[in-house]
Amino acid sequence: MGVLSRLAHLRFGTKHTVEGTYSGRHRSRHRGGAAEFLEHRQYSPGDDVRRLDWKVLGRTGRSYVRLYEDETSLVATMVLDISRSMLFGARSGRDTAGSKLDYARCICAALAHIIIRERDRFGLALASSRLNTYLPAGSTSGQLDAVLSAIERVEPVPDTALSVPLRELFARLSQRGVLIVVSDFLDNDLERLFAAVKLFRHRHFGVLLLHVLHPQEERLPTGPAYRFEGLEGEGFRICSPQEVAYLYERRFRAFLTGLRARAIAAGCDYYLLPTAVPYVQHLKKLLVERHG
Amino acid sequence: MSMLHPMALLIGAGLLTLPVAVHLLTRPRPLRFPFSALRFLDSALKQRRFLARLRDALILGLRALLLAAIAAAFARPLLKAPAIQTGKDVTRRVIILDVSRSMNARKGGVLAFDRAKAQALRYLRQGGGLRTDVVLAGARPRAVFDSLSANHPALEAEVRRAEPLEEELDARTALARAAQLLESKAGEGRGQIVIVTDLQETNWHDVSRGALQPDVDVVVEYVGLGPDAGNLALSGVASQRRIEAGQPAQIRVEVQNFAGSDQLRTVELKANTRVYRQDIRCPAWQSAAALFDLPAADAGWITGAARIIEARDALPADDIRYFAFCVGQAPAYVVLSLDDPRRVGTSSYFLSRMLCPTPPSGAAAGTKVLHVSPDLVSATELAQADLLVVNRPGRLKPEAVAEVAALLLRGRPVFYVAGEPADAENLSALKTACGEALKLPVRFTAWTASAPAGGAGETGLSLRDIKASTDPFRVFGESIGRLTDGVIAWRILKTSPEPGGLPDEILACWSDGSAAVMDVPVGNGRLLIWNGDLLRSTLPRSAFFVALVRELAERLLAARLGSQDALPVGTARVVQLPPEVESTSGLKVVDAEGRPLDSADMEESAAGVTWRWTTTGPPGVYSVMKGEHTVFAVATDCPPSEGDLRPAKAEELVARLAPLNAGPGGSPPVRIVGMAGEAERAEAAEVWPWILVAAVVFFMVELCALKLFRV
Repeated sequence: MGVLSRLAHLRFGTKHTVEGTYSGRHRSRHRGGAAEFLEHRQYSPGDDVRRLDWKVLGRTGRSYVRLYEDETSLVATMVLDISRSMLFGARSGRDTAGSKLDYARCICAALAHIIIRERDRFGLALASSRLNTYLPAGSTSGQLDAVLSAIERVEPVPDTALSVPLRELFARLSQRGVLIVVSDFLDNDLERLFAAVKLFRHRHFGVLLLHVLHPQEERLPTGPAYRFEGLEGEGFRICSPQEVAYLYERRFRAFLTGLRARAIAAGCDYYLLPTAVPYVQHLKKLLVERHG
Repeated sequence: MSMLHPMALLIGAGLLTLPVAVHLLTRPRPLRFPFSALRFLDSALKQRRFLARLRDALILGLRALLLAAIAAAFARPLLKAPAIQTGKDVTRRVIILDVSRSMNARKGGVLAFDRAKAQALRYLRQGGGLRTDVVLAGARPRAVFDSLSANHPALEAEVRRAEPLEEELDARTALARAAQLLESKAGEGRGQIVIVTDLQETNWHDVSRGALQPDVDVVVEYVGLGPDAGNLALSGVASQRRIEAGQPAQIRVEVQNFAGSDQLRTVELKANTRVYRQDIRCPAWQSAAALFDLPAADAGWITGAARIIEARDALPADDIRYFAFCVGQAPAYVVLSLDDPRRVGTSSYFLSRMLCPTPPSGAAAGTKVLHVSPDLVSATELAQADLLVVNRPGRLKPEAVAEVAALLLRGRPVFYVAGEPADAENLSALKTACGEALKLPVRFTAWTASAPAGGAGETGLSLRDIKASTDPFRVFGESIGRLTDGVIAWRILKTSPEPGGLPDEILACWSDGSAAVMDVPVGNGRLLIWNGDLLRSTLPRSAFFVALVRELAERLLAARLGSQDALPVGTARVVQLPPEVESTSGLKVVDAEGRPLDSADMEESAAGVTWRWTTTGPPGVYSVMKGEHTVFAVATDCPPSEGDLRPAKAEELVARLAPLNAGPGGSPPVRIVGMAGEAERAEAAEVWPWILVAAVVFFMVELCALKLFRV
C-alpha cells in the first residue's frame, strides 16, 4: 500500500498521438469535431461542409475549414523480457529477489496500475525468443489482476531474440499506442531487434525502451578468481576479474552507448534503470519528465 | 665442464618442479558466479588471455631459470677444468685422496676437498680397462679395496661419501700402501699413483719415493689454496709448569699465523666452568702466545678448550684446541743416598735445598723431601715419590735396583746423579732390570781413584754441545753459554756411545766428549742422568745450579703429571694411567658430554694400568672415571701442523719422488699438476658467483615482468 500511495499522483502519458476506442485525456491522431480547436485549413472539395467556418467566410469571402484535435484513451502494451539473463542478481535459482526480472516485474506492475487507474488500456506481452504470453490491452480492474497474475507466473526462458516476439506482437496490435519494452537488451541480434522496433515507429507507435541494468553488469565483482557461468547456456569462463575488468567495462560501456544511440536514432525513448535505484524513484522521474 | 657437486644439479632438477607446483597450487579456487553478460567477458578474455599466458609463461620460465641457476651455482661448475694426466700405457692406478683436516680449508667459498673429490672422480671415470684403487689418506691411510679393481662405480661412490677427517696426513704410509697395491699387479702394464692433495709442506717435506717401483708414474693433483691461504691456528695449549693445588696455573695458548698479514684476534680459554679472554696480535707468518693465569685451588683436572674468536680464516677447524691438565699436590721428592741428610755440605744436602729451598714448617704442607738409605729401600717409601733422586747411593742392592726399575716402568721419573764408580755399575744393573724398556745412549765407565779430584795433573771438564733449544736448557735462552762457562767438573764417568742408543737423548756433553746430561724414556717414566759428582765440580757454587735442578725437576714432574699436549686424532695410543690407579675395576672412559667410550680397553700389568686406545677419538676431552672421580683425563686433537697450509716446493718434491733410474722417453715419471695454474684454477672455480649474479638478474626480471603485466 505504501508503494501504491507513492504512485497515486503519477500519470502515464505520451507526446505521440494515439488511437483510442474511448474518449480520454490523450491526444487522438483523428482530427475532427471534438472539443479542442487546432487550426484553419483552406476548404478543398470533399471536405465536410459542416466544418466550414462561416464567420471567416463572411468576413473574408474565403472558405476555411475548422480543424479540431480529438482526445482519446491510450493503449499501452508492455513487452517484458523474460529471458534467463534477466535472472541476473537473483539470490538463488528459486528466489528471484534482487534480480533484474524482479525489478522489471515491479516496473511492469506499477505502470499497469498507473495506466489502468487512468482508464487507459494496458496490454502485456511476455517475450523471450518468441511471444510467450500476450494479454490484449484492457482497462478494467480484471485486466490489472490478469497482468499481475501473468508477471507473477513468469518462467524465464534460456534465450533472447526479442525481434521475433516484437514482430509477432506488431502483427497482433491493430491500434497504435505506446509500446513499452522492459529488457536488459542482452539480445543476440540488436540489429533485428531495432528493425522490429522501427516497424512500430513506422506505425507511429510511441516506443519506450526501459533498460534494466544490474550494477555488477557494469562493474565486475572483486576477488581472486570466478567461474562466470552464462545464464543462457553459454557455458562458463574462469578468470580473475581484475585481469579483465578494464577491458570488460570498456566493452560494456560501449554497448550501453551504442544501445542509447540506436534507440534515439530509431525515435524511441530510452531510459536506463539501474536496479540499485528504487524503481519508484525511476518511475517518478520518468513520468514527471513526460508530463513536464 | 665438470662439477664439484654434481648432486646439486639433481637436487636442482627436483627443485624445478617447485615453481610448477607452486603455480598449480596457488591458482585461486574460482567462485561460481552466474553471469548475464558473458559475451562482453568473452571478448575481453580473448584479448587478455594472450597477455596472461605470455606473463605466466614468462614468470614460470624465469622462476625455473632462477632455481636452475642456484642449483648450478651449488654444483660449482668448472668451465676450464684441467685435463687429467692419463699417462701412456697405464693399466694400474692408485688414487691417494688426502682426507686430512687441512682439506677442509676454504678460500673464496671453495672447499679444497670438494675440488679434490671432483678431480679424483674424473680419474675414476676414465675407465678403459684400468684397474684402480683409492687410498683415503688420513692418519691411518686405508684402501677402499684390498687389491686393484675395475669396479669403478663402487670407488666413485666411496669417493663421494668421503669427508675430511680431523686427522693429519700420514703421507709416507699412504704412499707405501699405494706402492703395495700396485706391486700386487706388477707386470700388468704401467702403474700410476695419482695423489690428490693440498700438498702441505708439513706433511710432504720428508716423503720420498720409498718402495715405489721405477715403472710407476706419480701424478700429484694439487688442490690447495696457494701459499697464502690466510689461516690462523691454535698450535698449542700447554701449562708453563707443573700445576700444583693452591697455586695459580699459567696456561700458554699459542696461536700461529699462517698468513701474510698481521692479525689481531681474541683468544678465549674455557677451563672447567670458567671462561677467560685475551686479545692477541699475531705477526705475519709467526706465532704469538697468550698467557692465562688460572686459579687451581684443588687437586684434580683442568679440562676445556681454547679457541680463537671470529678467526675468519681458511680453516675454522683448527681455531679450537682441547686440553686436559692435572692439578697435583705439592711434589714429594725421595732422595736415595748414603749421605747423612742432617749433614750440611754434602751433595745430597745441596740437591735437597735446590729441590726445596724453603723447608716446610708443617708436616703436611708444601713440598716434601724424604731421605731414604739405599740399604733400607722399601716399596712403600719409594711409592711416595713424585720424583726419585738417586745421588751417591753406593752400590745398590739388586732389590733396590728392582724397586727403582719398577718405579720407572710405571711412570715415576728418576733423576740420577752419577759421579762415582758404583754408579756405572748401578746404571748397568738398572738397564738390565728394565730390559728392553731402557736403552741408554751411552755406556758408562768407572774412573779409578788414583788422584784427588781437582788435584795436579787432572784437567777440569767444561760443558759443551748443550742443546739450548730443548728443556731444561731452553729457559736460559741466549745466556746459557755464559752461565755454563764457569762450570767445571772433575772425575766424571767416562762414556762411550752405546750401539743402538739414540744420540738425541744426550742433552749436553763434557769437553772430553762424555755425555753430561741424558734424558731417556723408560717404560712410562723418564730417567734423567747427570754425569758428575756435585762435590767434584763447581756446579753447586754456580748460580746456574739452582735453576738447572729446578728445571730438571719440573721437566720430569711435568712428564709424570699429564701436561702433555693433546693426543693426535685417529691414531692408536697406549696411555699409562697414573700409578695411583692400581686396578681396572670400576674404570670407565667418558667423553666431554659424559657418554661412555666403547673402545676403552684397560689392561693391568706390572707397570700399572694401561689404556689401549685403538683409535683416538674426535677432538675433545676424554676422562677416565672411577665412580664419580676423574682419575685421568686426556685431550685429543689434530696435530697443529695441519694448520700450516703452505704447499711443499714442487721441484724438491719431484726430485724426491723421481726414480733414480727413470727410463728414457715417455711421459715424465713425476708430475705436479695445478700448482702453477692456481690462479687459473681458482678463476675457473669462480664461475659460480656469476651464476648467482644471473640468478639475481632472473629474479629482477621476474619482478619487472610482474610489474609490467600488472592488471
